[in-house]
Formats: sequence, C-alpha cells, structure tokens
Amino acid sequence: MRSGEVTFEVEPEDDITAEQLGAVLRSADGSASLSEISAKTGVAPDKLTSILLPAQITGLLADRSVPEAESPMVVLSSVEHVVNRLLEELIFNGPFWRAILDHPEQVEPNVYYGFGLENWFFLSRESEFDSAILSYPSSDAIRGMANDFYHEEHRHDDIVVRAFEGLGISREDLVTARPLSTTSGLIKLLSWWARTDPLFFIATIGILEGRLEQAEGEGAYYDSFLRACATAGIPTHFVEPLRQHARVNAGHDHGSVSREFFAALPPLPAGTQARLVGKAHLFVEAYAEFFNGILEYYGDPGRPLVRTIGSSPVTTTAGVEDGRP
Amino acid sequence: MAGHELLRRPTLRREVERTETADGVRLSYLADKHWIELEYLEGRADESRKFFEALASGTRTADDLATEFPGSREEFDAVLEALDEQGMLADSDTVPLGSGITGVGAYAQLKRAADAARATINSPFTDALVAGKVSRDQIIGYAIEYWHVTHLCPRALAPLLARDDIGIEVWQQFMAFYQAERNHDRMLEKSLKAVGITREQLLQMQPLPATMSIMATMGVHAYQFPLGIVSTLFPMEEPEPDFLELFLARCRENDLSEEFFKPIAAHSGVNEDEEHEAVTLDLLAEFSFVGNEELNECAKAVVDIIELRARLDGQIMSWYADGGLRIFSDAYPVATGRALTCSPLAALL
Repeated sequence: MRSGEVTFEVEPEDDITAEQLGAVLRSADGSASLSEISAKTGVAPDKLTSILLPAQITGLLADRSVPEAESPMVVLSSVEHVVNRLLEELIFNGPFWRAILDHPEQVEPNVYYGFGLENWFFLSRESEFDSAILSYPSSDAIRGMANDFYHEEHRHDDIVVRAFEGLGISREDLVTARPLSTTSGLIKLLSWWARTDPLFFIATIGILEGRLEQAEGEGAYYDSFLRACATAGIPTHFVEPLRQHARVNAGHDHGSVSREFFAALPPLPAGTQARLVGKAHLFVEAYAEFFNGILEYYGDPGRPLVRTIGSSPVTTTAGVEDGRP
Repeated sequence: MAGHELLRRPTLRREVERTETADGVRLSYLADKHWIELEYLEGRADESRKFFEALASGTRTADDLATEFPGSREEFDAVLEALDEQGMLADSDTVPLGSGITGVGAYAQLKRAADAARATINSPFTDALVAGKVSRDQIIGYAIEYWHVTHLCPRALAPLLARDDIGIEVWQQFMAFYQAERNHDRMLEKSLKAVGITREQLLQMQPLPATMSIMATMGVHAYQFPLGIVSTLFPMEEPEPDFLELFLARCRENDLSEEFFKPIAAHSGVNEDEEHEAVTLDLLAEFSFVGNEELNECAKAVVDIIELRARLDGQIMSWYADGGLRIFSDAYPVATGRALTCSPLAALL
C-alpha cells in the first residue's frame, strides 16, 4: 500500500486470501464498523486488527465512529445533587452548624472567632489551588475565566484580616500561626485536585464560594452565621469585615462559578461523571470536617485562639480575651 | 449571570417530588428538607401543569420552556431561580455532533499533521550525515544530547503519573512506558565512556537550548496537559532505521569504535523492539473523546516537537563544530555561542 511518501507492506496470515484482503481494505471506507467488516469479509476480528494496525499506526486510517462523550452541564448537575444531599446530611446537620443554627447564644465566642480565623487560613492560601488551573491548556475560554476568577479572589484574605484587629491579632500573628489540620487538610485536597484532576477542582469552586448562599443576596450560611453572631453578642468590629467579604463574593456571583466554567467546557470523555460524582462525596466529607473541626477545637475556651509553633505546639502569640461587652 | 440562566435544558431533578395542592403545586427534594409551593395563575392551571410536565421531561431548551410558561419571561425566570435556589434544577443538555472525535481518530490526525510537518522540515544533522560532512565531535555531540534526553526523560514523564483524571488503563500503560525508559541514560554513558567522557562530566553539562526545550515541553505537558504528553511521544519514539544505518557508517568513517556506537544502536533497537512507535496510538485509544480545540492543541504540540527536533539537529552542528563540552563555569566560547544563537536555522525557513 502506498499513500504519498508512505509505503508499507501488508502480510496477511496464511489463511487469508488475497480476495479477502482486498475486500477488507475496500470496506475500510468509514461506512462500516469493524464487526460489520468482519461479517462481510469473513475475516475474524483479531485477524482484522493485524491487517489494519500497520495502516493505523502510519496514520492512514481515520475513525468515523461517534465518540462517547458527556455533556459538562449534565455532569455538573450530578455533582450538584451529591453536594446538595451531603451538605444537608453532613454539614448543616453536623455539630458545628446545629450549634450555630439551634443555640447560637450558647456557643463559645472563640468558635465564632475560630470560624473567621480558619476562613482566613483558607483564603490566604487560595492562590495555592486557584493558580494551578490558570494555564488550563485545552481551553482558551477556561483560561480566561480562571484568570478573571483568580484576579477577583486576590487579597480577599485582607478583607477578613481586619476582623481580627479588634481581637489584638495582627496579620503577622496570623502568618506565623497554623490552621487546624481539618483546614490544612481541605486546602491540600483542593490543591491536589487542582493539579491532578482540574475538572473536579473546578466543580468544587461554586460550592466553596457558596452556591447555596444566594437566597438573601449574601448567602444562606454566611447569613446564618452573621445572624448567629448578632444573637451571641459578638462585637461588630469582628462581624463587619466578614459581612463585607460575603458581599464582595455575592457581587461577583461566585456561587455560579462552577456552572460558568462547565458551560464553557467542550463535551467530556465518557466516565467523567462517574469520576466526579465519586470524588464529590470525599470532598463534602472533608468540607464537613472543616466546619466540625472548628467547633471541636475552639469550643474549649481554654485553648489558644492563635496556634503557633513554639516550645509548645499550642502556645499563643496574642492574648485574646472574650470580646463581648 | 444567575446560575439557572446557565442551564441549557433546565429540568427538574428526578429526585424532586411534585404534588398538586388546592391551587398550585408543591415540589419537594431531599426528604422535604428543600421544598417550595407555587400557586398557579388563576384560570391557567392546565397550562401550568403542562409546563411542569415539560420541565420534568428534560427535553426542552430554556427558551422553549419559556414559551410554554403561562406568564411573562420575568416570571419564568423568577420560578426557575426559586427552584434552583432549592437545588431542584439539573441540566439535560446533550452533546452536539461534530464537537470532537475518538482518541483513535485523533491519532490519525496527529500522525498526518506530523507527516505534513516533516515533509517541509529537514534535519541539518541528517543532511550532514547524508553528505558525509559531519565531524567526529558533532557525532559525539549528538550522543551527548541523546544522553540528556534519556537522562531527563523520567523527570519529564513522571508528572503524568500523579494525574488522577486519565483512567487506570492509561495510567498503567504509561507507568509501564515510564519504567521501560528508566536507566536508558546508562546505555548512552557506555558509548560516551568509549570516547573519554565520564558520567561525572555529563552531570555537569548543560544541554543545548533545543534539547532542554523539548524535555521542558514534554515535562510541562505531563504536569498539566495529559493528552499533550501522550501526543508528543510518537514524534520522539518513532524508529528511524535509515538514519541509524547512515549514522553507523559515519561513525566508522570517523574512527569511532564499536564501543561507542553499539549502545546507541542497541537503544534505538530497544525503542523498536518495545513497539514504542505505537505508544501514542495505544494510549489515545483509551480516550473516548477528544474535543476539537484540544485536538488542535495536541497537533500544535506534535508539530512543535518536530520543529524543536530539527532545531536541535541544527544546534548540534553549530555548537559541536568547535564548542567543546558544555561545562560552563567562567569560560564560555562566545563565537560558538553566537553561531548557535544568532544564525538562522535553514531547516525551518
């Protein structure tokens, strides 16, 4: 066979006749599947492969079969269902949110401050995971959106850091301090996914930015948290910067970020939905631990608010007092 | 844009239960943790029921649904927004035809792109081999750069093994390929030892810019573009029997011993024996779908590697004419460096 400058020989096995060989090559015109060619020519499927493989390696055979693909928005819809369900079961029905929603006045002030602190740790390392998708190589649209999003998120930690000034905690204190392992665990999971399965990471952004937070323009759970702060008498100098951050996110409509990305994606290979749906469970588990870890640690008022590395792993750099009047 | 406006074929999740109330419909989701009651407009109950049937069927686009809605577009949007806030909406979008091809089909296109590129690009090193105008130092230089490629190869390939979005078949095949490529630099070290170049020296050498660009390209693809690294394997791995024959003849003419060229020939044979040429096809065959833009990015990556290889062959000719070993501390052969970097590469013009 010869095509342009490429020539190669086909040496069929002994029991294949020249007529069969000719029939196989004539049938490879894009109109028949391999099994149809096999039935038509009487050449067994494995023999067919040995005839056609050299032509395939040389690039002489195209593939006219319809590729198996999944719609990105359908895939994301399935992920959303998992998240909707597990947010209810593991997060809003978990110890942290039950305490905040059911008896906010009984919750230790440190839990409110701790929520702010752990959110700051998360925001201050957001570049670690967001940056990994900036160069998304297979889509110009995704690259553009990822860079816009990165830009919008930049310095959000500075908004929240003001919440801690009234508690005597400076930015320097925070930089020296370390997050709870439930927070660092979530950060590293997201960073890992952003690098090893960027599509899944993108599916999580809308959840982290609060898809369920749009009800009152700021967000259901941030709103609930801010309401609980008011009930518990947490001072406004702590609450206001958090409220401001929630407003900034709502202003950018960050709760829809995953949908915007997925709406811009080309179809996805078969099997993507199963992969993402599986991981979504793991993600919400880690997200639930993020919240519940806050209550577990900060619920004990004897523990330091700011955890640093020192002679003791739980020393504090800031003398923090109950900020309530 | 509000979330529900991004849905192309909005539909009620199949987990949403609908029950008729006295004057409207109640929708419930997640064991009634999320629910919403909507009143039908007076005198339009039948149309409203039909609308919710249509919404549940998942067969209409958002615009089609809006026309079936008994009310204004604003009211339609408000209803969808309310349902979406409760998490009740999914998308039943379909994959448009012509948005991509199979991995096997992608291979054929990449192969043709590679062949088309090769038809217009020639290698200055191969040209010199054919013309008998290659020096002993240039042949040794070729082996040194070949060593850099094999030495950097595991570093360039490894990042793909960390990916978790390529499927287990691709991962396993790639792991086998990675393992097969390990320690190939040791074979080249045997060659170079025969001409007095030690491993210690090699480890101090800088590769030519094109060599490093090739390996950096493949390494970065392996980090962030799985189809990119898979696609660029075949232009690096295809056996070149004609080249090898010519190479061995010129080695003999330049008094290079068998100790020098045997391991190079053996390595080339390794690539052939292990059917490395088909590695890209084997891996791509595991991808059920490659989108058009992604395929174009892969084709760009393939042709880029072919151009870089030609550039590398030009750089071997210019640097190893008289540049010596690329161990740089304080001295640098400026004239050779200028020849390397300032003269146009005829092969690519």
